[in-house]
Amino acid sequence: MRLAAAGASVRGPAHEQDGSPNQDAISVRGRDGGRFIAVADGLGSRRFSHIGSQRAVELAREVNLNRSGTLSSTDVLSRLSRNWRAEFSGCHDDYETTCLWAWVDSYGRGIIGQAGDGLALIRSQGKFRVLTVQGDGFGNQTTTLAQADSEGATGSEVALIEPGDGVLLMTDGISDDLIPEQLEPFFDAIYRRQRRSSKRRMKRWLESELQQWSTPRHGDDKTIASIFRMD
Amino acid sequence: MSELKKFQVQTARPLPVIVLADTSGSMSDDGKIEAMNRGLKDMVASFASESRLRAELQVSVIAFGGNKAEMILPLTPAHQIEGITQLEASGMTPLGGALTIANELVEDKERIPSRAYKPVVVLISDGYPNDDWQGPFQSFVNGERAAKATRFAMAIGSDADEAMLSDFANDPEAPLFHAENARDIHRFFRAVTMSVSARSQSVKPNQSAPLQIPAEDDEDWEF
Repeated sequence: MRLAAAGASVRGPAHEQDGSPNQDAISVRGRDGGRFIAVADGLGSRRFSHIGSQRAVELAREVNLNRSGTLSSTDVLSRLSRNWRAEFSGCHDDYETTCLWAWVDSYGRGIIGQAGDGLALIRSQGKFRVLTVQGDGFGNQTTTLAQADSEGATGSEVALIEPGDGVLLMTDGISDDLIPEQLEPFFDAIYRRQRRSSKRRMKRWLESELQQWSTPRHGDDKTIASIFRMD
Repeated sequence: MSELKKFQVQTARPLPVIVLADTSGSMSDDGKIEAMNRGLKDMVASFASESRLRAELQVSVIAFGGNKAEMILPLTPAHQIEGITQLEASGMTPLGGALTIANELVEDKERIPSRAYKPVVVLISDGYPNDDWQGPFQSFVNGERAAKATRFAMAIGSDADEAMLSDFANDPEAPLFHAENARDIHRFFRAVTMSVSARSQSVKPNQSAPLQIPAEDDEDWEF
């Protein structure tokens, strides 16, 4: 069995225009035949949210790669939220961020979690589903990683049994502009490209696609990461 | 060529602005209705001419006067609005009817999709509502989506129901605005225009922008 992971993050036109940093962050790693991915979206209204999002994906990596086999996705979310808040000594308001992450081991078994907005798509044992709970509000209203213990967080176990099974995580700069009825074809399009690309080529392709984003007046940073079972 | 374009929405994310305008008989005094008409017209023109937007500004106007409330402008992109029906003042103050129409609009995911930025709702009145308004008021301010909207309010003159209007306004940086004359009405519209424009140009247009009422000598106004 072979797993492939890839991802890309680009600064949105609005941040390019005002010279501010990409507030999204990404991590794509491998260990012992398994793959880890995380994306995070620092809240635009917070001064240091680009630091908060970067620490979120780093801590997500630490918590997942150092976890014992008994930790559930909910346990990981709680621990990640707690560790992230501790990182900023209780003064985390200026660093608020979302975080989505997934870890799949060398047997295709894994866990996935989401705190705040963005979108998590899964194909597990051949069945496609959307992990993200759709809210009743409006775009860009989100809960955060700091609140993950109490609200706005969700998680699941996944089993990548068949070729084409996988997880796809993205920040709301992408997910808010996707046609809702096209999520599964979108997932498949990413998989098809991954199947014929190296990790580096996949990253370049994703960056190019995100740079060419076509929704009129889009401005947000955009980050996407995937793990697929290839055979 | 992009392979993923076909999965992307090809319309900008909307930022709805909904104006609830009192057109009761008393609005005919002291040039109030004329000031409101001019304020609305200028606001729409300003939205339509903005080019640095991160959202598509949409406007709806719900008038409440005579014996009923009526949506005189369905939610429409500002740059497509060719003209707004001139508001005319007469009759009662059926606010409850206006709030019911507004609530139906805000809760309707067809007309305001989930990807829209949170709406701005502006309530303008110079009197006390005199229909069965309390129920619709509670439904609106506590509505699943409506509660998330940014709500501004303006009280015109000394006969307005300031308690109700203060309860309506929910932005801590924009408490109820008191207008004493036609000039103040226009200043309020300018402030709303600037606040919405600032929001629509920001990276995250959901963040409220302060409602800064322009100084009296900061504009050209003819009586």
